[in-house]
Amino acid sequence: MRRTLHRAFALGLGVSIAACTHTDLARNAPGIVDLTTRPVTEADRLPGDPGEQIVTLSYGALAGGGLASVGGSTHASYGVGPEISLGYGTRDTSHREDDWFVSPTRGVALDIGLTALTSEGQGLGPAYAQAGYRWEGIGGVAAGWAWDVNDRTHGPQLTVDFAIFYARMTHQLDTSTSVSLGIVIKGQHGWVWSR
Amino acid sequence: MAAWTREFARPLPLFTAGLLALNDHVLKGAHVLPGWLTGKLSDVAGLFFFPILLFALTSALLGEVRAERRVARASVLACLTVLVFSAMKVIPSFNALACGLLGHVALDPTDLAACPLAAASVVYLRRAPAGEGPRGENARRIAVVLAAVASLATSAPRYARSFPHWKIDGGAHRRAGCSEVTVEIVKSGKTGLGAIVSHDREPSCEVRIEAARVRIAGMPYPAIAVPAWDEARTAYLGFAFDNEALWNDGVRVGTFELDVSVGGQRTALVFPMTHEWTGPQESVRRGPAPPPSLPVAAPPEPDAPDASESGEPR
Repeated sequence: MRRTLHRAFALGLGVSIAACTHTDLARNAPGIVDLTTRPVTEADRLPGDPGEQIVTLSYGALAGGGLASVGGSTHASYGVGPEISLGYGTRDTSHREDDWFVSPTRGVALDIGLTALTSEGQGLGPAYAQAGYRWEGIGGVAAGWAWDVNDRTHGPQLTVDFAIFYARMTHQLDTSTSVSLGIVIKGQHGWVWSR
Repeated sequence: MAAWTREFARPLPLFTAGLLALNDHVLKGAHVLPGWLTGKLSDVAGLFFFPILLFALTSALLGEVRAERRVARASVLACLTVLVFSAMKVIPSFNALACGLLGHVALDPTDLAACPLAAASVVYLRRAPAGEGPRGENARRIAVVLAAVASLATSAPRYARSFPHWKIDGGAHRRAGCSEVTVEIVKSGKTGLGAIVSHDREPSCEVRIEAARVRIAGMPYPAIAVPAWDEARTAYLGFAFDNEALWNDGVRVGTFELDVSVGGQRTALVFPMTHEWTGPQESVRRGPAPPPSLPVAAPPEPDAPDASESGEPR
């Protein structure tokens, strides 16, 4: 089991790394120029960098464990499931192709996911939708709502993530509260165009 | 004899430092090895030797530590190295700061795979034999300094942002009576373009610009101002228009139109132009396409009156 998990983790990490790609679009491509002054040096002729905008589509999975409080008793819990995110953000300077991935310096994202395998409730765990703020392409905070169709419960959810780690609290109204820590592995494709 | 260099001035750390320097300054860009390999090689070598280098330097600054505390100091320095390295590789703003200080550092989280090499440096320092180490203290000091320089020197970026640019097609020279007029577009951006117009006036040939405009998608955009010729017989003309909208609409051709008066006779000169783009990035290693050079400034004729005084050009 442990070996399988290690392999799954390695595979997921490899897939996400291979899947971090981007496409440069031609929109708004001209740079910034001052037409009122005559260029004196060669450098004066080069347009200024307007920065860029990025739309990202991220896809991957989260796996974590923590504690769940149900009916006054607290016990260990786990949750594994897919998540897909649509994000938008900006950068003040354009990326270099040397950079392995392109992420906005600041942006917002909408996440939709499903905690498919979980120790709580019946059948599949809750689906959720959350909106969040992304920072430096490496961390973020998101809040939303989770619905468990099988258990007919719902409630708010808060997620904080940094790099490949996340912390999440989900409260199913009048039913349960869970807090979990885990790993999120996502691939991403970005569409980049000039500001 | 100072002993602070002994951990570093041994074959393995010196080999990794040499490997780093060789990789950054020779192999990268030489296209001998795949790009991904040269990219990772520096990280692997650097994460191993840099904590050892720091250990040597802190030993020089703070003094030697007792044998039982060597691992603690080595671990702290290894963690510090990993933290800074990770921040440079995954946090764009920190990466930008590092690029400003060290030169180009790739923003690449896959480089974090090299982090375990920092732990190897702790193992190395724990197992490094105590004592004087190799002979030649001065040689060891030189080795440490060279390694420190090698660790700071990073390779140059391979790509730079590229922007669309209006260019004159089919020759930028037009004969107008007794003079030849040349147009070079020197600025091109979201809000319009700028051009330098020059002429090779002969002494008896009076040339003046009556009007200048660019015409794109049937719309004329006049020059912001038509200045007098300068001493090099050139004039800079700016043309303001919504170039970004035209670009987004797919408009890529236009004309640069000059109405000049040569010897009292008015002539219309038309230069076709194209909005060109080589792509969002261009290779720095190959050398970006240099912008066209400024028109050669011919020395003013000794006896020629100042252009503004003669009233010849506008």
